[in-house]
Amino acid sequence: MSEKIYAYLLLLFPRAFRRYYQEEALRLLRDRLRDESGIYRRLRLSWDLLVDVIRTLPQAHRNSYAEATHAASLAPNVDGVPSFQILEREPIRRETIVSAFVLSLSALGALMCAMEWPVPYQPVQRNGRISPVEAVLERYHEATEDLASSDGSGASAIASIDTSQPESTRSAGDKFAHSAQPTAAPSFPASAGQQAVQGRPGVIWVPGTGSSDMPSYVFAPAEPSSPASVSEASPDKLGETRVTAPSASPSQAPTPAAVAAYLSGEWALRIPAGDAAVPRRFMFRQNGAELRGTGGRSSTEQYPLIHGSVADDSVKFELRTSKGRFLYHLRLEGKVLQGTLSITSMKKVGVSKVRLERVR
Amino acid sequence: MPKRKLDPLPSAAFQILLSLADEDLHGYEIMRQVETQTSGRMRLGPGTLYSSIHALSEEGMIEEVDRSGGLAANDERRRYYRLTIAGRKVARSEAERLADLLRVARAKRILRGDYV
Repeated sequence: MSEKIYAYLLLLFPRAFRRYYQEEALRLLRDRLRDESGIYRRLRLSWDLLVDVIRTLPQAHRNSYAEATHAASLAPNVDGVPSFQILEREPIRRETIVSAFVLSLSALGALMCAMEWPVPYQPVQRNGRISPVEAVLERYHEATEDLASSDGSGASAIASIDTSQPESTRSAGDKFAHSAQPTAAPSFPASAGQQAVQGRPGVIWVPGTGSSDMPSYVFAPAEPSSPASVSEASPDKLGETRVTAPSASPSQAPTPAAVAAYLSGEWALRIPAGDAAVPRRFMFRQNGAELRGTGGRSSTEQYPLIHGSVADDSVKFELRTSKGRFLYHLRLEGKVLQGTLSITSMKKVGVSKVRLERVR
Repeated sequence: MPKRKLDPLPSAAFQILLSLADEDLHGYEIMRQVETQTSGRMRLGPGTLYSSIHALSEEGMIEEVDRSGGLAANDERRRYYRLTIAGRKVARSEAERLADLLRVARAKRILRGDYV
């Protein structure tokens, strides 16, 4: 056993012992190393030291080496400076240290479990509905975020919509040209009067009070399934409706799949096999490629979506509840989301096909 | 009244007192002397040696001696220990106790031969 190793072993002894005798003990070891050469004697020396440490360590801690420290701590205060007083003469018992260690680990483990435990998310109100004010504010923020993300150069895109044709007979390009303004705050011709223009699905721009030079518009929530209402105000005057979209140049126009993957709203889960509705509700809020929101058994028991993402028509998100983890891999097909649900819980692990349908 | 640490006197402490009966010694010399007087049966490790020295010093049976003058360079920082009068009394009483035990053992015919 080398002197360095023995110096480390001496760290196990009380500090007062080391302060008085560490140097002496190391010198004694150096003397023995000098005098006891050869493999057998060195092995015997190492064994002696090891046994000596194991045998004397408990006794060293039971000894009142701390009494020297205690006596020092009982020295009178100097100039009124307070000093710590050792009230307990006996050193801390090993059982106490072990108990404190176990209790600390248990408390830390319990805290970590509590932090991992999912907490039901209460959307806004007890009935599970978002208040109109909250809905307007939320959509307002989404719209302003989209506007802020556009280039703001003022470049206009003119979307020509032949209002003489019913919507069903319009070309896909017309539909796309119209629906390609999901983020734009449209400008309205003064002759449009009191018309409502849908700038993006779910949001209607309604003219408010303001001058003709600087008209003001306010948001109003709309049904996502309602058709574009641009042409419905005054078809004869609106043969060509000019809609301003600062970022909607043809090269920057989003793909049809990306437009179609606007998922914000309430969805319900169905299992295609039995086509039975299971009590699962989802409140999606899509912000570009990011999908947020909640999901759960009902409108009142909701859990936040984790790692929600939208890439073209592919949708992924995860829910963690007290029952387990639910990983959704979905694809937008028409107006429904279809795909698989991977369940990982304590009771079972499996995959099943699911379908989500928009409720509103 | 608190219990004394050296009551009864441990074997290692008694051997240290015996080793210091003739002259002042430092730690390594004490260890060697104990090994010699026990015919190699007892080799005190540093922990045992200095724990016992600490206890004996606290009880006033041995004392540290200042031998910094007239020593070799490598001995300057060594601590030498001397048996005190109280320590000698304790060693004598312990030896007498062991002698009494030996007498009893001989009377009981447990010991045979010329041990004493």
